[in-house]
Amino acid sequence: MFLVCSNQELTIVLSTATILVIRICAPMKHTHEFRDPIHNFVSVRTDERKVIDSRPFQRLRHIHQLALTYLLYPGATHKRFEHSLGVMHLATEIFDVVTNPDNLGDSSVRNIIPDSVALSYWRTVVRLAALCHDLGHLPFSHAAEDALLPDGYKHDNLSRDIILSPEMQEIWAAMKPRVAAEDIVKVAVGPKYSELQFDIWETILAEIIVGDAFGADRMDYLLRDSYHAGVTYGTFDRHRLIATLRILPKKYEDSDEPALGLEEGGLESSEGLMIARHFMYKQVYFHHIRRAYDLHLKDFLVEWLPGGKFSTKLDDHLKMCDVEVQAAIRAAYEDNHSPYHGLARRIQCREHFRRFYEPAPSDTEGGKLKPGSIIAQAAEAKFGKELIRYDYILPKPTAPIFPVLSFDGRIDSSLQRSQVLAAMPLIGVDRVYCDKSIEAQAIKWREENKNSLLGLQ
Amino acid sequence: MERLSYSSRCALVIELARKLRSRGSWAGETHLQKAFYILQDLSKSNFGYKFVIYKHGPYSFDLNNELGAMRAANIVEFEFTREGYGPTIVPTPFGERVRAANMENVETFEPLLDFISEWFGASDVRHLEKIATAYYVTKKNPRDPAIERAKKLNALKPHIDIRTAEDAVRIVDEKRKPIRHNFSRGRTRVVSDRGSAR
Repeated sequence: MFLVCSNQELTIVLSTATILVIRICAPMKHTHEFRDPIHNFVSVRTDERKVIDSRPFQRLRHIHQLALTYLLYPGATHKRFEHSLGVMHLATEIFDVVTNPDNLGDSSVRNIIPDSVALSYWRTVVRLAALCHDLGHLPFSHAAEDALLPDGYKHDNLSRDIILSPEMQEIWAAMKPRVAAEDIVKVAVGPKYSELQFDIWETILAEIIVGDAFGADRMDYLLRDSYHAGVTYGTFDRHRLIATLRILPKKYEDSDEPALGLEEGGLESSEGLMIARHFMYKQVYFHHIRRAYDLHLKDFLVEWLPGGKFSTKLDDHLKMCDVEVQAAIRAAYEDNHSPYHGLARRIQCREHFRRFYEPAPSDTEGGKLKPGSIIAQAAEAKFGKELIRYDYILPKPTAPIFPVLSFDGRIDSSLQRSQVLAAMPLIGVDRVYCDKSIEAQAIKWREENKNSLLGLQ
Repeated sequence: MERLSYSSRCALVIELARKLRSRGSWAGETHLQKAFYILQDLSKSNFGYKFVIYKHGPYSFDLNNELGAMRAANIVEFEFTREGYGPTIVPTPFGERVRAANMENVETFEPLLDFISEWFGASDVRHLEKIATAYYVTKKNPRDPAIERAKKLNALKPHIDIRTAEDAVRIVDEKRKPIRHNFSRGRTRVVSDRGSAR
């Protein structure tokens, strides 16, 4: 008798007539890796991979993260799929840092941290919520979401509905331990859209993903969008930032309520994050041509979709992604008789509208709070509705307030500790566009009429 | 019900912040959030602000967005008036003009603004949080006995113990009913902290 051993098999030769071959099974692999340009490797467990393999998650492979931005920044063709993986990666890092017992200084904070079994459960919830936070995105992500969904509906509501759907409930039920879909909804969607009640612990977990200050969603999209767009402004020291995150009571407000904050050593990294965000909004997200394409896409979809809206029925939603819309745009462009031909041409042939008014700071001195809307209304009357588009986005605060822990144990507001954060400008959109064919006329008309329309001297 | 216009809402924010400051508040966003929550309920008006339980109790992301927009439009600005406290929201000269131009719409709310700013003007966030959350729990569960509402408050904010929560619920019971009743009948008699009419 002799033995022959290879990688996969053990062969035992008992005699010339009897050979016993034993297949050696490799130990079952429980973690799997995705290569990622931002985080190098993103690891997932086998049960988490069931979420990734699900129909709602696979759909994210076909939703552009930045809508039609690739028409200006050709590299910006990345999808919600890899972003969601990245958010899970960062959310896990944040969770592990802020719940590390060495980082829980204050008793009011220690009191809200669950025991180790529950903590492990919530870590899973955070990872699943991070994966699922964008499941409800419409084709081309945020572009014209408000106009294309029923009143009061956002993609977050659809994310909630998908997480609660029977298809996903099966996955949650098969997990060990079983995960409650409502917990995933809370952490994925946050208090704004989930319509559920949050305790402080859940509020902090939601902050880890969707928070304004240090949400993993924000961190990942800035890093990823800047990488793909080729715009270096979006980078910041995320490693330092995450390492210094802490749950802290807001003592500066005479309050014991804990919130996600920072050790003072991370303040510069958080300034870097906010500055990155500011530049990315100015250079990419609110870029005037990118926004023009959002308007043209909305115009096309309002005409092309039945009833001018996307369906909120989950099955319809899951069947619709960028591919269907792109195919429709191309078909309408190729067919001169299509009722949507003109709208499709604007996108397909880059015949986008031109910006012809954006307020100067002094333009509100006449008391008009949205000067763009006044100019747009008058321009529509002058040139016709078809040739004018108005774009408005409520200015966003760029620097949220969060607690900062000093070396001596004092806790202050971030805006007190950082002049950079306190001085961050707000950024919004109040812009009027016109068809290229009347651009010169429109500019001349604006120069002649702006002051009287806005009540300026 | 028609939503109060944007310029009137701006004027209301400025007027409420002014009244809160005159009663000793540093009038930061937390104060305005809680005050608006109660103002919207008592006046039965439509400001268009949806409130959920979040930072220090009832919180409106709509109001938060609007305060951001007001800063961007140079209607209000941040000032750091007290060492160790968050920013105070103060009107700019342009904001004062917006307020003056819309005072007619704001005057309807004057008695309630006085009532709320007197109630909360001198409160710290700890007090504000427990009263505003007790108010929220009471509004959601008006028929529940005080102890049940106190338990619900404690479940939402575990750092507020049951006894403190029960006190907060009782204060809300004392104040909410009479002022709602009087305001809805157009007679804005206001009950002070000590329970007397003035």
